[in-house]
Amino acid sequence: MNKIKNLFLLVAAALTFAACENGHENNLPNNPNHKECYEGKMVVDQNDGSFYEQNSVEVDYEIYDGKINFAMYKVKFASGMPLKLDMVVEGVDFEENNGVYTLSADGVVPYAMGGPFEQFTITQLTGEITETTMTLDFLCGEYPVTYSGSK
Amino acid sequence: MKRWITIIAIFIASSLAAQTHTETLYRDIEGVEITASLKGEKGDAAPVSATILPMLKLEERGVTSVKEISALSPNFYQPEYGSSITSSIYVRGFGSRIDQPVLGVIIDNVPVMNKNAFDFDFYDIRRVELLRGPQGTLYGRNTSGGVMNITTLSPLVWQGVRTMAEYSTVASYRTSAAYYALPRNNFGISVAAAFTHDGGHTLNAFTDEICDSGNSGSARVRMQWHRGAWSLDNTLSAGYTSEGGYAYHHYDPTTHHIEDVEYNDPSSYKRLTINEGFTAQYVNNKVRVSSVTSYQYLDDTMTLDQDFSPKSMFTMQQMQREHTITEEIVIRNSNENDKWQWLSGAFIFAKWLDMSSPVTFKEDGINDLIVGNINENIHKVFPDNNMTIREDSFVINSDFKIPTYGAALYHQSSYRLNRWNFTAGLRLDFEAAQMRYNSNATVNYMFDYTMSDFKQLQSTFAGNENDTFFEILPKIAVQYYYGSRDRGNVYATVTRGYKAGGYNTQIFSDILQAQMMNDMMSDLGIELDSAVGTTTYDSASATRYKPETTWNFEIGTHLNAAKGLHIDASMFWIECFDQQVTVLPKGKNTGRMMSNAARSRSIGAELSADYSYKGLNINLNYGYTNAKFRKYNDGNADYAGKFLPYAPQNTINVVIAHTWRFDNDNIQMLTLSADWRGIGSIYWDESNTLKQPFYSLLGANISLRMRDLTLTLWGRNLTNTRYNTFYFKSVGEEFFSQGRPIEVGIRLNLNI
Repeated sequence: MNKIKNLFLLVAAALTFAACENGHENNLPNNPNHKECYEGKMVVDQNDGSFYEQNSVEVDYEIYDGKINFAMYKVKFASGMPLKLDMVVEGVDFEENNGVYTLSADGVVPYAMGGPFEQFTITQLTGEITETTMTLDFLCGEYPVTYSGSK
Repeated sequence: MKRWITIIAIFIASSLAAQTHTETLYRDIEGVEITASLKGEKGDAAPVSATILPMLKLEERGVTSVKEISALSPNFYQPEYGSSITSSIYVRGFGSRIDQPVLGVIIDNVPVMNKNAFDFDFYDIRRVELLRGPQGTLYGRNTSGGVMNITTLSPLVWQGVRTMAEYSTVASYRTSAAYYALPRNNFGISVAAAFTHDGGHTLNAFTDEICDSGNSGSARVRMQWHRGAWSLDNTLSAGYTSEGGYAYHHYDPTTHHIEDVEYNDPSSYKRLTINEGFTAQYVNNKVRVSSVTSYQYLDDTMTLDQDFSPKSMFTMQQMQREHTITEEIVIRNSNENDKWQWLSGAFIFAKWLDMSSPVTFKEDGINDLIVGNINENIHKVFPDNNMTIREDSFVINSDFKIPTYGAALYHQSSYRLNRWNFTAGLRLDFEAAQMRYNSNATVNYMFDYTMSDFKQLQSTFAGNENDTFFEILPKIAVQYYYGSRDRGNVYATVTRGYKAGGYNTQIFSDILQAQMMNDMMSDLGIELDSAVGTTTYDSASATRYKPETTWNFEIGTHLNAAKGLHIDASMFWIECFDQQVTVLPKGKNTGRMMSNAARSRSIGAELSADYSYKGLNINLNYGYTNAKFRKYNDGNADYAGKFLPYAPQNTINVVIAHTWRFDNDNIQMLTLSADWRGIGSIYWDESNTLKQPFYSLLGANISLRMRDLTLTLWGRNLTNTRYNTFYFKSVGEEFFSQGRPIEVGIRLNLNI
């Protein structure tokens, strides 16, 4: 029993260490410069046949250490959610072709409310960023999310 | 006990050896005091409602502070609660709990510029003159309810030694000693000092100690000189008080039970005041020119358990240091028999207030007021996670520098035409105020779902505000004399007064508290749908309040109706604009603030009658006020038509006294008096749901004068009536302050 307990503690400590080491190192601002952001509609499939839509969602991105980090500002994932939060997704793979970035990622833990947000791990992420448009398609936890914005 | 027997023995021995001149002391010798009547109108003849309390009446009634004049003057009420910093004065329905007062207090021609210093020890006061209704034309700011002119005993009027000692059943004692001398025919000097110990009467059930006891001491040196047309008068006074207080009983609105006072953090008030006033006067057969210069220093510290409960929520310490300089020049005609009486004046002042008000949030306060607010919303999404703050307590510092400058010009003329007297006056008041503020706090917080360690959050709210105010204060009055001027007159007046504008420093901890929550939300990248992190006021400019102005329409009479019978009666109608009302921000907030949120009116009547026949004296003062909001909506409710809170609708005081004079070497006079004071009803809230019904306080005095020694046995609230003097809400809880219980005392006065 003690061995199992110790193993659990070890795993927990390792995860904590990993989270800290990897922690939210992007340069995306908390208060974005609105002129630089893409602005558009985010749609969240509620998995019950209904969709939650949020307009005027601002999204910003940066290229950092060979990866793309992007931030979605003041987003809600359901109408009953009593708060909006800033969600930062770091370490997204991309390919660049004539100024168009094609995104892909799987199993990325987003950052929100001061730390990693494992409840809403991003999977099956695809997307495209041009100078004037941005599209995203991913699963946030178990909820399918699409975003389409422009400058 | 031995100490008191010794004191009494010394008094009696001194008395028997002394020459009697007590009668001289109490004789009203208006006019002898060469610097009196700076602005001149004699209250009992002028077109104004006034109460005059000469020295003998003040001492017979045991008046030891401004508060004790409540109800002695109709429609004048200053409840006793809190501590000496609390000088909430109500006149004719209007008043204020905080900030600017409705009444100006003037001591020996010097206006007291900070109401925190209004509650001072009364001793050797020769005369109190309370003028009711706006006195803005002659006295300017903060006199919309009236003016209290206090004159201390002058060494040019009386010379000798005065001592007083008093002891009462609430383990309180007062003592004073003064020496008045006339070293030269044209030079007088007096030195006076007083000490008071108030044993207090309210037990704090948490500490099992009396919480409202205190000590105060004061001293005054006055020098007066006159030669030919010139006279000089200089008074230097200092006072210190150190006291407990804030005996606020928690009130349970569901059971209507008023509980014991029970708070856990220390509460006290300490104040040092130093006042220097210099009056110079030149008189010839045409004009009288007066100059009054003053310097006023106030240094006080108020320490409060601001939740007034056994919980460790939050405490506040407000430290103020204020320097004030005033200068007033008055020029008027010197011959009181001239048909045209005129008076012109200029007044300037400068105040520099340095204030620090740190609010310490303690464990319960952090959990209830800050973290609790945030978690209530967070739990809707993350029911098992919490926001926590590492500190057991943290401080919201709020520092202010508030300089205020003012200047005024005024003129008043009266013209007498047979039985008529017409008066018109105008004053221009200008005031500039600035507030530099800096509120800040640092905490370490953590949201345990996403954060593995605490993160430091620093919030700062700093800046400055500038404002200017300009007021025009006219006055028109008409008097008609019944016959000879001694018979009295009937008058009608229209006057305008105002209370100055200013800044709400007491709301800054609320603003910063809200900003901290917002900063925390921003730091976390979240935005709550509900109103967490908001306060009623979120910018410094919103904490500014404007002057409150009043127009007073009044008719009245001063009538010597028969031999020994003097009657003063008046009826008034007051319209109040931009009324400054105390607003408590919504929810569980900690501050309070003044807002120009209301428009109101007050109508009422006042009657004073004094009848003397041989040794009998009957004195009656009755005031009725019906003061209601015309408009007031605080966002929660519309209070139009409701009575203004905190001001009594009725004040009444009846004193029946009989004095027997004896042709005896040892006993000269015996006075028995009984007084009845009634006050109420008083509504405690704008919705008029809570009120103090009309209550009565019965008092009695027996005074025996033996040569220059006067022995007085006195009693107050002899029926031990329980009554409330104040009500307020803090952090969503309700509290009452209660009046003093039965008190019986003995006083010895010696004048040699």
